[in-house]
Amino acid sequence: MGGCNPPTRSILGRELMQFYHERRLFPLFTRRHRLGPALRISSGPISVWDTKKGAGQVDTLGLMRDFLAERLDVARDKVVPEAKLADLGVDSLMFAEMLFEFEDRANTELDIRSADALPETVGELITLIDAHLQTGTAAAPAPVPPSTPGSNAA
Amino acid sequence: MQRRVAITGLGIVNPFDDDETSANGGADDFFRRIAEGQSALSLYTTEDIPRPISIPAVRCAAFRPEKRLGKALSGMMERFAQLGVAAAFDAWRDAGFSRENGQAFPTPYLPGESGVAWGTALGGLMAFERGYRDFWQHGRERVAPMSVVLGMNNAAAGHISIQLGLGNSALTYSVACASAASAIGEAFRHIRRGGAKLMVAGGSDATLAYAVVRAWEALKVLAPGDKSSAPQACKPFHPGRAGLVLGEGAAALILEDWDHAVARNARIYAEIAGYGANADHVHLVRPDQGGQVAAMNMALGEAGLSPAEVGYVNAHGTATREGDPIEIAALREVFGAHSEQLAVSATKSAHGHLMGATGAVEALLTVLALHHDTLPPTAHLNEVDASCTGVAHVRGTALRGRNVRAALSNSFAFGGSNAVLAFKAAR
Repeated sequence: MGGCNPPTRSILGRELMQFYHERRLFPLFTRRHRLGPALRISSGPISVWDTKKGAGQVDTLGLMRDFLAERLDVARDKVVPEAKLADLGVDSLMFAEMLFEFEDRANTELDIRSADALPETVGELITLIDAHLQTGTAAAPAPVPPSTPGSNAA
Repeated sequence: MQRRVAITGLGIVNPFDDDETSANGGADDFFRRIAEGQSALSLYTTEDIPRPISIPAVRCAAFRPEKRLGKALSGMMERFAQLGVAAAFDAWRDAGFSRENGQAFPTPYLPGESGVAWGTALGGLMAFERGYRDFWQHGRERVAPMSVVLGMNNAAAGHISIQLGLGNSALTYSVACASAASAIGEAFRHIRRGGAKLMVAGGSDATLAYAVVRAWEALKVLAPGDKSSAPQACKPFHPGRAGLVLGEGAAALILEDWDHAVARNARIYAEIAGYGANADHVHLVRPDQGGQVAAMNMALGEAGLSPAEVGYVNAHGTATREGDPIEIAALREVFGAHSEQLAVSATKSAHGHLMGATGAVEALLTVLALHHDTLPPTAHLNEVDASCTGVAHVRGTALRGRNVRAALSNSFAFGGSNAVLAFKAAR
């Protein structure tokens, strides 16, 4: 299944969603892992990867190559540990986006803030992510309460 | 000293394109088709839940942002910004400037002498709509950080200023249906007062977001239609008019200090000479004849035009039951005895209502009408409603060779804001 191809075409998924929607049952079934892949809909430019793996199974460099190829059209062979992130087009915004994707993929939450100093190279970023995954600083994401007006103001 | 302002570049995402190979030269192709009375309207359908959409609309179906802008840049933008930046790039090239390898090269102006004025009514709303769908419909628990910069309403202006190296003001005007006309008018005044030497001005909107369509449906002002009737669904001034037709898209104009444009031997399409901006201060959605009259008079006054010197008006003309007669009454009041000879058309009949972008598309058509001395028609206007008579409606195909020297483009918005642009021929 391609990364950005919305799996909404699944007849079963569509009918199931319609069923739940009509009966307003969604609050009981909104956790993505309960719905399964048919209902995990890629939303435009946000999602690159379809399937999740456990933290120990993550190919960090491979994911970075996927992400940079998909989002910035960077050739995979240019994403090597010594490559500078800035040269690949990764600025602070793209860094935050990449961490988000990574957390999605690994079903985890990395205790890395984009306000922190950015790693300079691909290798440094891999080291940083792997360290967070292995030392157990990653935590399962907490349910996010519904947003209220003004709560997302910059 | 007040400066004269030239229009030296035009760009549009041409809804008539049916494949990417015809994407270049969009403005002229667009004008030719509108002049011939062709319609860009068709039946727009989606399978969205809870209820599929099926409405006459204009969608830039052949627009491929990755191809026009590159994958990395287009991925940083919501659709309204993609449309806007593509139109701005085309206008930039049309003005004789280049842009290569992701950098703009070079204009005769310093970065601080060139800016952006952009109109959008809806902005990056689609990013947030997608976020809500992810939360409530798809069971996601968060939205991506990029949503912030995708959704902000000044995203198009920001990207245009960055990509074209424009360091003067980069302002966004959100004035409902008068957004782009306001942006162009404000850019005009900025140059006129000596605040800038070049402005990229225009507007873009991605109007076919699910909730936006549903909201307009709820207002009961969208024209109905099926596959066969959709191209003729928008009928301004017609007795059978049944409402507006949503369209998405973008258009951009390069406004330039006249003397500097002449000095660099630029092609000058027309002069923008006046701008009337006011508020009805009467009602949130009901058009007001008095406010429209005042705005048109303001534009004429600033341009130094008498009513009799104006040969064409691109009307706001949305094809609503209430709005069209009020605009015709306002035109008759402003132009008096001359109104019987005043050529008027509502080109929304052919390109739809692009909300915040519509004023830019109509300004572009008005400029080209003067440039080619060809007045585009109101499409499908085979009969004029009794409440809309008293002006010289352009019907069927374009009127050519009328030696029109000046023209207005009207935009009247919900909220009571009016924006009227006055142009003079450069011939």
